Amino acid sequence: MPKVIIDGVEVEFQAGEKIIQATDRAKAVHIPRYCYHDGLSIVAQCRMCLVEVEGQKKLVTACSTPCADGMKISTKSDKVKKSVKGVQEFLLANHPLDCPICDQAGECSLQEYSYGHGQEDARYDFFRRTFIDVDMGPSIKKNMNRCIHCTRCIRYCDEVGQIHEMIAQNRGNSTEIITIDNNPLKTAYAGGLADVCPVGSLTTKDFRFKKRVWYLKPGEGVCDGCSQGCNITHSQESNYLFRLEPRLNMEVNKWWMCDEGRYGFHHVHSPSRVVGPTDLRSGSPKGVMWGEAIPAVKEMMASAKSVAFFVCADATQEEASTLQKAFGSADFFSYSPTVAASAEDKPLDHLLRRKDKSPNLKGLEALNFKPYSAFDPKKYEIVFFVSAGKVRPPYGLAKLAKKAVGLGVFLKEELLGYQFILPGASTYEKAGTFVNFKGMKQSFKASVPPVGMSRTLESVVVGLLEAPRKVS
Amino acid sequence: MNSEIVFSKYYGQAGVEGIDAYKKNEAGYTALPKAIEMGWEKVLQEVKDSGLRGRGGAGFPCGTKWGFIPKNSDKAKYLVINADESEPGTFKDRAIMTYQPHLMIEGAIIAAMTINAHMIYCYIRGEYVKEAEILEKAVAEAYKAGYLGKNSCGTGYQLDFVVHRGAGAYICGEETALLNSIEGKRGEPRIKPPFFPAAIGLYGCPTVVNNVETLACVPMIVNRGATWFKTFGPEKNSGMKLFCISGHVNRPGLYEKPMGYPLMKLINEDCGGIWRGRKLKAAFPGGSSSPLLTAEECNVNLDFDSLAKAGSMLGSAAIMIIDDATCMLKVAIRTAHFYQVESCGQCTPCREGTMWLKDLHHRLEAGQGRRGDLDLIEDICNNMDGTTICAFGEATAWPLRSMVKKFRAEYEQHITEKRCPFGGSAGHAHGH
Amino acid sequence: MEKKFGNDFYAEMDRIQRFYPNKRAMLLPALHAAQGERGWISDDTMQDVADFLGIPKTQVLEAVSFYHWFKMKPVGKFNLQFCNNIACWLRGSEELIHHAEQKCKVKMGETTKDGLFTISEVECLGSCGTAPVCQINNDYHENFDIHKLDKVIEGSR
Repeated sequence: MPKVIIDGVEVEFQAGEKIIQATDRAKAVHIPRYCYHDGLSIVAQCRMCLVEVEGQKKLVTACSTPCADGMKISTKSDKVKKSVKGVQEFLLANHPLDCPICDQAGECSLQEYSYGHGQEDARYDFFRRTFIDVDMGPSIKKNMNRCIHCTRCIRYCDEVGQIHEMIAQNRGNSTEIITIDNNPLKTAYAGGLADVCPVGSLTTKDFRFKKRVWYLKPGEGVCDGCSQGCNITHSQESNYLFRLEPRLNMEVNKWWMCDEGRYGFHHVHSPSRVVGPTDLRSGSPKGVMWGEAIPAVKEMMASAKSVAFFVCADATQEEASTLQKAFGSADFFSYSPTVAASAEDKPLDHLLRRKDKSPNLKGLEALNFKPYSAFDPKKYEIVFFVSAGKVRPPYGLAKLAKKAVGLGVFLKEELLGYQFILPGASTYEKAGTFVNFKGMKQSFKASVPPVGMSRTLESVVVGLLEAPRKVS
Repeated sequence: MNSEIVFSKYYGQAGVEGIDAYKKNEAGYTALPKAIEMGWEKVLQEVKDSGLRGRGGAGFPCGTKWGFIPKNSDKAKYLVINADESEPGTFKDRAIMTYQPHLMIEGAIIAAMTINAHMIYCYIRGEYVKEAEILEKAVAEAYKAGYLGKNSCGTGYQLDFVVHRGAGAYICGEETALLNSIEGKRGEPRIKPPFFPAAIGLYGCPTVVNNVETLACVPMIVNRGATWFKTFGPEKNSGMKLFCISGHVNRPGLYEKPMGYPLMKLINEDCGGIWRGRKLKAAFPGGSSSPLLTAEECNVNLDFDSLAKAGSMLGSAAIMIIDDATCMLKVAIRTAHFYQVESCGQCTPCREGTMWLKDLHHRLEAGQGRRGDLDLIEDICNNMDGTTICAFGEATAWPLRSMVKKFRAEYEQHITEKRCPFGGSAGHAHGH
Repeated sequence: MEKKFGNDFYAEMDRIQRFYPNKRAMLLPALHAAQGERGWISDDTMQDVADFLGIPKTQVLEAVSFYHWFKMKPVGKFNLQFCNNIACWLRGSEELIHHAEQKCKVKMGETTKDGLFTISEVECLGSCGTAPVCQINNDYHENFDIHKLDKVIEGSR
């Protein structure tokens, strides 16, 4: 394999790779960058990644310069240090330095690079250009004052969202990034603008002012919004889930995720969520202890000759197998709100969003769960409706069953027809595996423990199988 | 010094721009059939041998540039004429297009056929409304005479020519910005690599971008030969040249001289010396982007290499003369102001540096400068120099740095006296 | 399609169409023709040009706001565009601008109330050997001086 020599260290590169790509892949020296993003086209505008190549008079940008065998590159020569420091200073010249009230603080490239590459003192002492904050639709708020003109957002809309809606207006120092007529963003992927924006110019309204990012503890998740199974990072603090962000997986979602998925976790901490065992037999909900709920449900089961599990396809493979093993004689049905079977699934756009709005239909089908179309609630004496809160059983369906028990995440306004709710874990409160539309098995970790008295499905099943305790 | 008027003989006269006058006065359209007879390999060789260097500013050898066009590419090839003459001080291309549009057109046809292009775009700056009209008329004449069209010169070669107007953006004189502009985009320069015009130019196809005056040299090189062309000017700097003189001389205007003509001779003899009996203080030898020369440094010959050796550049041969009653900081303000207005803004150092420099110069001129400001100006220039996508960063940094270096005492006087030693207001500061 | 422009616009577009491989490349010619007809480029004009070319209005705005020749605000009947770049400045453009401002009673960038004059500053116009220069609408007025300026202003009223 051909090699370049970066700061004296040999780094292998693949044909066509740019310097910055080779150093990133080899996890060699980190070359600072603002406008370069692996998932976007290369414009070399920010000039932060200037490096020195032996034999070349001018510095070159690492993001746009292809590697050549034997190329000797310095990222630390005096010339490079001086120029990069200069670029960093230019970027800060018109930046408001309002880090104390900026949501990007803690994960801001400007802050980060100020350390390694910045000027010790501020030499710019003229008025800074100012703009008014602009609402860009339901997802994004724009603060143009902080903008460093890297144009990642423009390219993101063009290349990822594939709608030419963010543009540069005017030129030079008075350039402003806008949507025409201040139109709200049309893309279903607007939240990604906050990911690609290296500074605090574009932030999601959902997360804005909610939490300082350095308090957040990230974990590896898989989105439960559709059959794509986008890999995500979920971030929590004090057992409260604050945000979802895409996590790189080149075979699934690359660097991206849609807004529906990104903001689709608020049922977790919803005040409507039923977070304790609830007895509804009297017609109105009554909170009970697990110690009362489990025996009561067991009793209902003991007398039932036919049992069915109506499993929303946001159940994990592990949960589905547990149910099958525990209640082998029951009938199992899988449910997606938008398709009858995974064969009906199809892409909804050019990028990620899919018709099947459940994350694990393919997995349940592989476990021979029957399709929802074959389900007749009247046929069974007791039906368990299993849901993780993202895919919820059709409203009123439980009423058609003779007896219905909800297992999992349910909302107070959707309890029609249930005799019992045994509160369970949402996707973010458990570890597990989903099988996406391609048949890829993807495992994820829990972010927060189940809210309130909710318990994981496994522990509820154990309780239901246990021999009755003798009351002394 | 060998000299011959090859461009400007008829400048200022009415009715010389038509095709008949061009044929009668300047043996017009005799080079084209000669070139066709010679064959394009030979034409290319002749242009290479002539040592013709680009007249737009960079001085790149014209024949070499044509030679970069791949011969066995299936893609369309384009010739683009850079008539976006906007470098402050420059007005030579305007004269050619006004009085000799056919000379440029004939040169362009020869160039296009040499590189196997079937389409010529002439990108003329938007403000040149009258010149564009003259050009349109000349192009129509050339179509009518059969030099352009489906069957150019009866050879069966299809060749079209369109006048494409720019719209007020200096940066579009940068060749890749110009190509973006033709494509209907913002005139932002492209990154090289990968967008070298000869490989990935207009519409992604191999493209040659030539300056007006460069192309106007081509017919005479074909007609009279490379050897003749090289009788003018020093080695590697051949040809007759249009020099644009402006500012504080008694007779500003356009002067046609051989390359290598002495600057002081041009000022004192041809232009009648400095006006109002004053003394020479400084000069821009090649437009506002060229480092300024002090009066002492003006003992220099006007060609690419001599000026490079003197620490400046020939650029577009736009010589702006400054007398000793002029405040150099005010000149710097005009310079900084221009670059601030014209920066496209895509690169950080240029977008931010131009504004910063303008603000600093205004502060100094207003008598509110601080001790460190002069070092700061130099340092900002250093940080812009060589760190941007195109040469605009240097074009800003070089002249402003040269001024603060060469006239430092005068700048410092503004700080210590807290006012402009030349009196007057802080200058007319527009466009904030 | 509904005709939003005059016949000259469409004639010009028909004439040049064959020189351009795509519609977007016709943007600058179309904007020149549109501004020639309407005097400036309004929001509606941008939409009309976008519709005519079949390109998004965003692409039109990006370009219009980049190129200073295209006026995004209406200008007076006589747009006095003074060059105040180095060569013109060395030859007294600043006094001319002052004079014009006083004479028209407006500041740089403004238009007189009667809509007759706009005073604007432009960059080098390529008339440095005959400086100072003022471009009034499309026409260059070279070797300009206060006397000529007065004549222009008074002659236009």
